[in-house]
Amino acid sequence: MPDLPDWYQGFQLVGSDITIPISIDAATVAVPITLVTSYAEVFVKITAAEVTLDFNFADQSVAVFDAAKWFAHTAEQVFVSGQASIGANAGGSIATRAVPGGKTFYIAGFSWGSDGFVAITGTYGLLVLDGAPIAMKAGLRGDGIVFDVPVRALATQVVGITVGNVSGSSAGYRGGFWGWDEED
Amino acid sequence: MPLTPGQRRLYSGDYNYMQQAHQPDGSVIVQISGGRSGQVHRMHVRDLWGEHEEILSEVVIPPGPLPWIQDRLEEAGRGP
Repeated sequence: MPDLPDWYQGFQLVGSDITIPISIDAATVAVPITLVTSYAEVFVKITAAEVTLDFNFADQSVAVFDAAKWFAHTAEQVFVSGQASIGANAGGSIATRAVPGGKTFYIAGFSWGSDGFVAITGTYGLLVLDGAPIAMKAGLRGDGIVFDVPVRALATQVVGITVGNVSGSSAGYRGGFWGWDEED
Repeated sequence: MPLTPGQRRLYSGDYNYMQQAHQPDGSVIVQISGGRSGQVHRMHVRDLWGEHEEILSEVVIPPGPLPWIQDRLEEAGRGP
């Protein structure tokens, strides 16, 4: 990298409607920001090997959400559930979803279970993305997984849960998966 | 074939909840709710997500609370 000169610019802006797109490319970057306003939206995208974020909020009402809680707050959660009868020693789909256009679907977990009273010796649940199994769990009558890191499904991809009935008789199963949509 | 209102909603993502009942003939009864419209769409779909997807029937349930729940909420709001 060339030996660029140090650079400093202070801003003091007063206005009713202010938009400031910022793009900085430097060996090191420090961005101290102080906002005093009645309403603020701050969108930050940082690509760096090491990032330190230091927030200091002082207001009457401040909330910081992680992604899952934020998308619940904004009513963008998606719950997909279904039911099907599955034959003895067979597997079948109980819920599917094509991810809508212009969105990315973040899958937070899936679960399933038998809803009948027949003797079942075992079952498994499989989260499937475009036909490819990506997560599986087995149980006696059902089970589930909550992902530490959400599974990402892109627009047009088909997400589904396939359930296996490992027993000698057909049985009804219910289950589904859940998460949230983000605009691309 | 143009999309039905329910299909349009299905592919635009304007819903929060989707329930499916998979039928023995492979068709699926799909119900979607939540989202901006507030309506409930219930569709009977053949070849769901498939190349030859076909809506066999579709009904719309208007938005809003159940009338008897609304009556009780209003009565409760009026106080004793």
